[in-house]
Amino acid sequence: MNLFTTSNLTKTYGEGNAKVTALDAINLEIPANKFVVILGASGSGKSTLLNMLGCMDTPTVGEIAFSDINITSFNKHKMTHFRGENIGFVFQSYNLLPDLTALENVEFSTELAGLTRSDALNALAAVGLSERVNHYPAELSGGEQQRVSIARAIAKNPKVLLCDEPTGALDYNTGIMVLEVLKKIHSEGSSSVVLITHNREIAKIADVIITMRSGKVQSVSENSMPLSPSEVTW
Amino acid sequence: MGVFARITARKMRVHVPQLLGLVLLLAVGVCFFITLFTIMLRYEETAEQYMNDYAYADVTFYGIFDDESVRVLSETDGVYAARGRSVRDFRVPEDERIFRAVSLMDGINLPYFYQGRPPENAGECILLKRNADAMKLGIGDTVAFGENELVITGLAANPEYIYMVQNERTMMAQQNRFGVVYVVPEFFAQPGGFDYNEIVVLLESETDVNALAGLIGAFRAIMQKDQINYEMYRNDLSELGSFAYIFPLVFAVLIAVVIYVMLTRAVQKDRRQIGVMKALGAPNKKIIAVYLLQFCITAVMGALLGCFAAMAATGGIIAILSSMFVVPSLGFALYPVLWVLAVVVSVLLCAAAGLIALVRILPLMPACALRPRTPKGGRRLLIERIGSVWVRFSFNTRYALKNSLRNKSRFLAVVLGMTGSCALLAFSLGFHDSIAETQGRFFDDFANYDVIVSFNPMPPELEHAAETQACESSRALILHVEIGGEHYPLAIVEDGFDFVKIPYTELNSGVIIPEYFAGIWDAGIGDTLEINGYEAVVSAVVPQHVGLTLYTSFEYMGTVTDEIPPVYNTLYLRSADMPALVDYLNVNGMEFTTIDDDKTSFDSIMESMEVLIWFMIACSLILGFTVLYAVGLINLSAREYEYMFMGVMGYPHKSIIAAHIKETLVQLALALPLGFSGGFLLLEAIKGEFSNNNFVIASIITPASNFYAATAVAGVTVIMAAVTSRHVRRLDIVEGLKAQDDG
Repeated sequence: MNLFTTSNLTKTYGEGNAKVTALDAINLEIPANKFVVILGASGSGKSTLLNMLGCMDTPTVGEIAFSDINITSFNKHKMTHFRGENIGFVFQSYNLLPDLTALENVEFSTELAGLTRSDALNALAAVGLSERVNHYPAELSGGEQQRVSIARAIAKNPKVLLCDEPTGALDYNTGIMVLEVLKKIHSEGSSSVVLITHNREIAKIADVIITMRSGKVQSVSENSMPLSPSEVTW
Repeated sequence: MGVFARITARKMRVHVPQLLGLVLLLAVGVCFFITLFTIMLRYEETAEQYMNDYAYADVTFYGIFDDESVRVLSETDGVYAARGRSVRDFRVPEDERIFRAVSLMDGINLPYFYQGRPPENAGECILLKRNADAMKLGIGDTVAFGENELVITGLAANPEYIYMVQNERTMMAQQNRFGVVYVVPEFFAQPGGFDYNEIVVLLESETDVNALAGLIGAFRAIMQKDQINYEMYRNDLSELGSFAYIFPLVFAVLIAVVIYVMLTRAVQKDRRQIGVMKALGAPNKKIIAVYLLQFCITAVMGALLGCFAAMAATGGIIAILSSMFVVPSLGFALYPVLWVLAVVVSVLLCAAAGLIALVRILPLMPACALRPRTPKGGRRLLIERIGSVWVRFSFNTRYALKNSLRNKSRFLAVVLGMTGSCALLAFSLGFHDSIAETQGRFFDDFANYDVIVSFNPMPPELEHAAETQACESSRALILHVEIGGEHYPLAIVEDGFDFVKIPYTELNSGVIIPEYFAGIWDAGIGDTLEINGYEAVVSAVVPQHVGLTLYTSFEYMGTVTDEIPPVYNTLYLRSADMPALVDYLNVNGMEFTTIDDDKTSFDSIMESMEVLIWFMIACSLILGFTVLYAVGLINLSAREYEYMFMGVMGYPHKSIIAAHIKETLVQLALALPLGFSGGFLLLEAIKGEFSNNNFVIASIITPASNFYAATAVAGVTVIMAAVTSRHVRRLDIVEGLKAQDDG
């Protein structure tokens, strides 16, 4: 069973001479319950693809099916609802709301999903931040902020976690710690993980590696021997 | 408390200075509205009740009457009650004071007693309390005029003197110069019984007043609604109503602009946060609520603060207005509907302005909102195309000019704030100018008499005693004629009449009418007017601002109708020896007003208007300061990063401030002329409310007033420049750049 299926997925920005094709007729199948890494250099279109998968943006041409549901036919209201119910996002720059504490940032997500404060606390505990729940983002380190961001994403038990370069702004040790958290969540829970990175080493922890270049999928390969995060170095 | 409520509360904490500015702005606007509207409603309620309870006469007949005339009227159908009375003015030669003695009646025009009792004999009187206060008299003191010395037994008010109307030209006599005493009828007793010069009547039903006047041979009948006292009351209600709207309306526009700019800025600054919220599945309505709730809470706080401030201000303003009109028991009353209205309108205004700002960013897809905004493409300014001029400017000037037009909405908000403040100030000061101008136009450019003497009609073959005492005199018959269902004074004058400056040569070819009436009747030279049922041609239209009167000659009226009696009831006099003339008129008990009386009345109007004018100026200054401060802060926060970056690049502080000042000067250069025009337009808009059949305001704003308004606005911008300079000097470059990266 595929989690996402894209057909002829195309995204262009601008017009005329300024036209840029970010995604070029992509046909892709992303399996469910796998740890998937989309690997590509800067400008390869991986973030654009992630945005499309997460209903954060709309394609210029083509379709995306999420478990056989055509999500490109959704209007904005339905897309919002879909994101709230099925998708957990982890961003490179954390994107925590600066006016809210760690707990409140997670509660933002649980409240929208109709869950309780204890769900938010459990999520923070799962990422090892039980002691820092009342701290504001400005009072947390980069790694802690990213873990709050992961807690916010997993607290509502999404079907898929979409992670956009989650280690991009972190040092090696913190990056490994974040990857371990993600791996743990994937192995313990029912969420699929789609992670994008430009780091070939990180791709070694994935079950499936999708390589992109210039807006096209170059290869899709299964990794039969995924490494644990502690085994990779960069 | 939900997480969205917490976001709202924390964002409010961050925006406290701006929100406080908004609260102040709203509070001033609401305070102004509630104060004036409360006074208007309260004044109407109390005055109507007062006139009803103290039996303000429905109609007053003028002429010479006896008890038989009163009896005839009393027994006529439609008349509820009729009373004869005598009214006579006495001038005190020593201090130029005038006392009007009015005989007391039972059942009509009853005095409202503050203190004391009615007079019991011809040696006692009641004095209007406002006169007693102004003249520093009390119960037991003596009022002396003519050969009379009256002991004051009571201090009262009367519905027929809500305003101190002395006559058509002296509509607001000074209370220490014109006093009204109520005396027993015996005060006017003559051998052989009483003669009255007025009969006051309460009507039971709608009655033909002209027929009643004919029945008793009255020379003139004035309905309550046509009395100057009543007209001024209705006009003041209407003026209060207009003022209650005008200021808050301007405030509302500026508040909307401030909110729009603030929210646009806040939303753009929070663009990424909004993107995150959307990405996490927050519906638009929840995001809207976060931003709108801040402004709605601010609106409620501002409106309520304004309402409470109005509670405190209303009493004070009523006390000040009591120099214009006196209605006992007029005081503060709470009108919950007004409060609710103020709160609802404030909330709607803030919500609407906020929504307009939000709709620009909310439709964005989260991915788009999470990306930094694409920089706007640069555009060449018009002046850039004139290469020879543009290259002569320094980099600093070119930067300032470019900056001015880089963000149009912010630029417009600053210009609009400056324009609004300047307009309101120019309007307030211009209002003062206009009244002074009206005075000048009447006394310098129109009136050409020293004294006007009024009396009962006399046949032309009889010479009035006053004619012999003046250097120059002219006779006139002043009638109140009906045109289009309303009554207007018509002066029928002799050949060679030059006591007011009108085109005399046109007197014999028709009726000369004031511009104001020409506007109301849509009449011009050559048009026909129906006066008392006969047709007369308009021969000239003249600018006249006080005591509006139509003028024609006996000769012309003779060609129009033969119903005008060949009599005269008014003398216009000029004299080289005014004291002697006034003395003579006094001694002989004649009813007259001098040009000085009229000027004094005008001074009274000016004095009472001063209060309102200062109130308006204070509000304009608060408004101006708040708007410019709020918009200035927004402007500053928008430029903060840029200024910081310029500092990083080594651009000197004074050059950054110089650019900021140049930008402000560009805005001022645009805003001030617009503000002057706006002030004049506001003045023109309320001109109608301040004009009536007796008084027409001449709208003018002097260069001095415009200068003061401009100086005040420039002053506030200088303060803002100082704030900016201090702020820029204190910017923490490292922290700022980090914050910008994070944002």
